[in-house]
Amino acid sequence: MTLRTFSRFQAVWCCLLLGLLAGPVPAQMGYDVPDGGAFRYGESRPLTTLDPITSNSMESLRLCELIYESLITQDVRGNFVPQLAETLMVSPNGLDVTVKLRKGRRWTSHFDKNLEYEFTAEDVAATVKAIKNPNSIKSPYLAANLKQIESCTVRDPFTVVFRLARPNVNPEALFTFKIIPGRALPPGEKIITKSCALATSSPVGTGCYTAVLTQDAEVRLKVNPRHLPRPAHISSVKMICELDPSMLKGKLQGGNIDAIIDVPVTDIRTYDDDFNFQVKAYNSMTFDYLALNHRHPLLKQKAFRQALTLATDREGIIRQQYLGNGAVISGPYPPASAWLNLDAEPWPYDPGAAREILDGLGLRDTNGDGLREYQGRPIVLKAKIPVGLDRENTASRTMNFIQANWRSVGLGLDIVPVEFRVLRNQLFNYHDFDVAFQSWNFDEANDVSSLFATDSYPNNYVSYSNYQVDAAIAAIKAARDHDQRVALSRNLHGILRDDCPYVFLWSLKKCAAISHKIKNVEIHPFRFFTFIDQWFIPYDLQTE
Amino acid sequence: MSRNFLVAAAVLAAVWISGCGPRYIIRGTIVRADGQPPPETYKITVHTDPPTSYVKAAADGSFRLRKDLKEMVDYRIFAEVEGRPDSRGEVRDVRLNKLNPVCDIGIILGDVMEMDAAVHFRERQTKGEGGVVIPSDPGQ
Repeated sequence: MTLRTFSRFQAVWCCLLLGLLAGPVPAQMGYDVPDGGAFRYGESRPLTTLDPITSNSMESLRLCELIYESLITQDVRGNFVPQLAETLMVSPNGLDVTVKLRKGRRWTSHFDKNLEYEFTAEDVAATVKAIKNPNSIKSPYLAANLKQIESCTVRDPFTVVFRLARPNVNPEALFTFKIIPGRALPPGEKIITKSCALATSSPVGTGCYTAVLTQDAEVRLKVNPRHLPRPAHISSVKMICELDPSMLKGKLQGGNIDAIIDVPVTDIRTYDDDFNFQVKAYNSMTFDYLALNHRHPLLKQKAFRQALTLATDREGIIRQQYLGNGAVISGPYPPASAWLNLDAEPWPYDPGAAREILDGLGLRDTNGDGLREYQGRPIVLKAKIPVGLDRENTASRTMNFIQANWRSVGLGLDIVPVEFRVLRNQLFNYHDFDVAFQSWNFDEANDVSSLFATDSYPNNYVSYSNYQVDAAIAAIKAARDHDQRVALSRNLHGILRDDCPYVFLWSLKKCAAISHKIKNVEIHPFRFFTFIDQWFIPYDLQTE
Repeated sequence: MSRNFLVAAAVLAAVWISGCGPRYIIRGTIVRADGQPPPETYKITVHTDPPTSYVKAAADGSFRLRKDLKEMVDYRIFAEVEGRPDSRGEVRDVRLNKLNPVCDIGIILGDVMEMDAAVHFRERQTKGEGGVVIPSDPGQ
């Protein structure tokens, strides 16, 4: 049926149907949405890079979400939808993916007008080539993901064909990496280096905002007026870094910023009770853990690691340190993960059982100083914790609690605060630790393979190796059937729960506190700003 | 004309069917206001759409329930402890969808006990492969 043959009666029916399909219109969208205003938000860690390929921090990832786009993104309901892609077609054998690109998208730069040109298939191919280039620096997850893409061929200026390494009938998630402008990369062999323009201070993107000032502690962005399908409503965004959480809180309450991305759980109630703020919980796939160095002669023993878990009063810490805003975990899966094995119960807090295990390992306190000995010397583990300006932070209070727990079973723990960037270097590059208090953030795929596979560098920095786990990860990656993959992942959860590669601690509630003047706020639980183009500020509340 | 009616009916049926299905876990813990576990086992009633389910809380106050709920915006869910009509707690406007499915239920049992429950969406978008994992500071 063509439009020309539409009768008036049929048109009425169609409108009725479309109305039913669309559902109720949000009240706040019932009037003309105003453009303009400034949004300022606070982070507790400084910017490391604005290059989406090399970024490996949540602060950078959130900013990159404002500046860059990907072929595929997610809508507010979590469905994969095209962004720079227009259509995505998978061949019947699941090996070839043809992506038609949207026309009229342009690269925008505040710094270099020569880099403002139309987005084409060449940019997609250059991005893939740069990520796959073994000489490029890159985020470890991208390298792992792009292994599944064998090649990327430009068919015409707006069509690319990806050849996958293995059949995949639902490959959308593979194409959520950010696309960078090919012309910003060195000519010839595409390579990403630290001196590359993208990685410094002049990013070039197709996203809804353009960076106009980039410093470690402050990034300013203005709306991209040529962004399609339409520019974002809010005119400017500013990221302000404040290492001291109490200063950040003061800035929000004093009206100097409009939002804190990750509110300390102890402050959630404060903002909840304040009518100036909206507290938005987002279901982040995050968990905290104690990393155990498996090169240590005791920590490589499964029974010893189990004893550490049994000796840690995780429920008590959540109650006292985090006011109950968290859930104890039994493995690397937060409660909302699809891979969670509900039958894998967390180890209980049972110091008696821990003592029995330690006794069974022959670790006894022979000189009565309260510490068990190993090879004639008292067992004192070195626990490193990240600190910024706030040396008396939640991490140190938590570790003090664990120190007391472990001391009660005869194990010593020295707490060593280390500046957070230095600590990451010590852990990931030099393995210089016994125990470290750390956290992982996942996107919805919650893929833990890089954490525990024997040959996985750098995420398996604890040097964990278990052939059962390696086999389980290989089976999951090979599984084509979704239900089979769920079953295998839950089996992996069971193995990890028993083997305790980490002391799995908890998954804390994640909340953002946002000024009530910002309207229509939807948050992506991992990338955060995915839906910012729909946010707006009423005229009477706008400030510049 | 009749063909269009059939098409309309088919579309509506498809919408209705696709609205059913995601599986949620409803889990929570009953604790006394002083933080201690409750002294006895309670039976929790969780009212949802589809309606009522029963789940028995364990001795430590924890409970969990697998349930298929319709995915929709502006959901409503409430729970109560059986035999304690003063125990009802309710959350309105729960946004249960694939990205932000968490809600909390706070229930005051008289002036003695309090219950917190959370609803978690279970079937997060897991199609395809790959995934991003990024280290960060713990204990925020």
